Amino acid sequence: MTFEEFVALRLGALIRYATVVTWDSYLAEDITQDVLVRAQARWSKIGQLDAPEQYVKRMVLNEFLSWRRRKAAHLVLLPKETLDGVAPHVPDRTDAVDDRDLTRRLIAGLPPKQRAAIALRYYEDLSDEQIAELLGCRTGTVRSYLSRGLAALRAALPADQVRT
Amino acid sequence: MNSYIEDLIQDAVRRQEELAGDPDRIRAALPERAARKVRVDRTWRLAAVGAAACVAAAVAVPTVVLRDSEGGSGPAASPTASSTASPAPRAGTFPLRFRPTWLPPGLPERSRSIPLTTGPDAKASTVQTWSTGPVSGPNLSLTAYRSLEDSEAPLPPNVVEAPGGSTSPRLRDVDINGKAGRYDGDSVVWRVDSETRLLLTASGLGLSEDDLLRVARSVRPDDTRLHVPLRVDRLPAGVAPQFATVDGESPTSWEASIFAERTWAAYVSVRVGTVDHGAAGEAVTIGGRAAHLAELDGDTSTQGGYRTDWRLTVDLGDGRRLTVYGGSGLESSAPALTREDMIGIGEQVEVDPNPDLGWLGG
Repeated sequence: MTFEEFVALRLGALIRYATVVTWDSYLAEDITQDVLVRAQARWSKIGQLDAPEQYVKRMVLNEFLSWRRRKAAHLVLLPKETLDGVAPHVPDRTDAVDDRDLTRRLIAGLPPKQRAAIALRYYEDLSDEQIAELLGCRTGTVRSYLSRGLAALRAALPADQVRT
Repeated sequence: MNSYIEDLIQDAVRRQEELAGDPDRIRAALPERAARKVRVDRTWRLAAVGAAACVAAAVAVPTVVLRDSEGGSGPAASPTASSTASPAPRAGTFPLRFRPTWLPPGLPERSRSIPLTTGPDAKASTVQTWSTGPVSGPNLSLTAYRSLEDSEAPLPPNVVEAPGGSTSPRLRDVDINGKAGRYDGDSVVWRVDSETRLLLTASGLGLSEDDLLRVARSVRPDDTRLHVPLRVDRLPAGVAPQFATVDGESPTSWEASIFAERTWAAYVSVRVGTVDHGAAGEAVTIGGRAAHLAELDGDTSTQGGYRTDWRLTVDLGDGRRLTVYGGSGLESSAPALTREDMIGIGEQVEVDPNPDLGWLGG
């Protein structure tokens, strides 16, 4: 399979993945284009893999988490006070649509690795072990990312909505 | 059982997915991005191009002839270093090698593409495409590509392989007639021999998993050959044929093309069929026929990754047209091909007056 064929067949899935991992559609496009240009140069190897798409997705993830990319993207991590300002705790708030919008905004404010872990778990359906492999960390660290991410969301959402 | 928060997260990631940009727009922007990277890599690339130019000059103008590929597992394109070689004009036929014996109803065949390169560095694939509408829309495609069984994988840490095999629950192992395959939701890939993998992809068709796997399991070796109804005898130095494609709606609405390039430096696309690409520019004569040669100004949309400098159009009669595009690398300050190159290519093109197009739309 040529690089051009890969792009024709899989670019849609790749850009959707990048959009969820980065939580920023513009950054996703930027990263995906950069990654594809680099992948093209190495396509003689990548194209031989069982799953070239998985390889390229890994490149997208690495690029997003890289120091250079994070610096370039000027990601701003919102402090707890800011989150409270966006999402005041209103006990009687029961509108599920608002919760959905709020959740999206809250996820956007999570640190990159927590956000990536959430994307890999809830979009890619990966296990803790698989996420650890991709993020280059221990399984326990992945569990910590996920639990801290969920805790941040739980803390910001109305108490009566945080149920199991 | 999922918690309410987990349900919210799952909903959020699905909604986030919907914000993804348009793949067509992103794909169209890739050449410019690549060009930017090329500028960054200017030093080594200029050195490489310089070396290639020296080699090309040493062997003079190559003659590239598309010959019949008689049997064997791959197509043939036979470059020679002599401009005097002039085999009998005949259009090439090339093996498709594999065909599905079952397809969902209502999916006519729209496109066949075959590689014109061989050897261990061959990049292009054999691709067959079926679609209900234009081939660029929702479609089903079968791609046969070269993949050596013992090919070396890239070095860690980039190899993604989870414990237990499959990298994701979405990417799971399937059996395709006794061969190990992988299914990922809208495509399945499996090895059919020590040098070949097949990739079956349903893009936007909403094909069920059962139907996609049924198509995959129906694929058999096949001796159907693609008749490419045009031949290009001579191309500028270093420009080598890459692949040929025949596509269209029906035997009365079609186009056959040959794409050739000197990577990053020059390209030639020769197209014959019923598609009108426009006729404008300097009036010239090609093979005794009235033609037009247009010098284009900074066109980067005709061929991804290149700037198109020239368009030569010839009316062949009976509703058929010959169009030759020529272009340069995006960084080139001057056209890689000259006016004489374009006219020379046009005069060398040979077109089969009776193309075998019965499969189109069938």
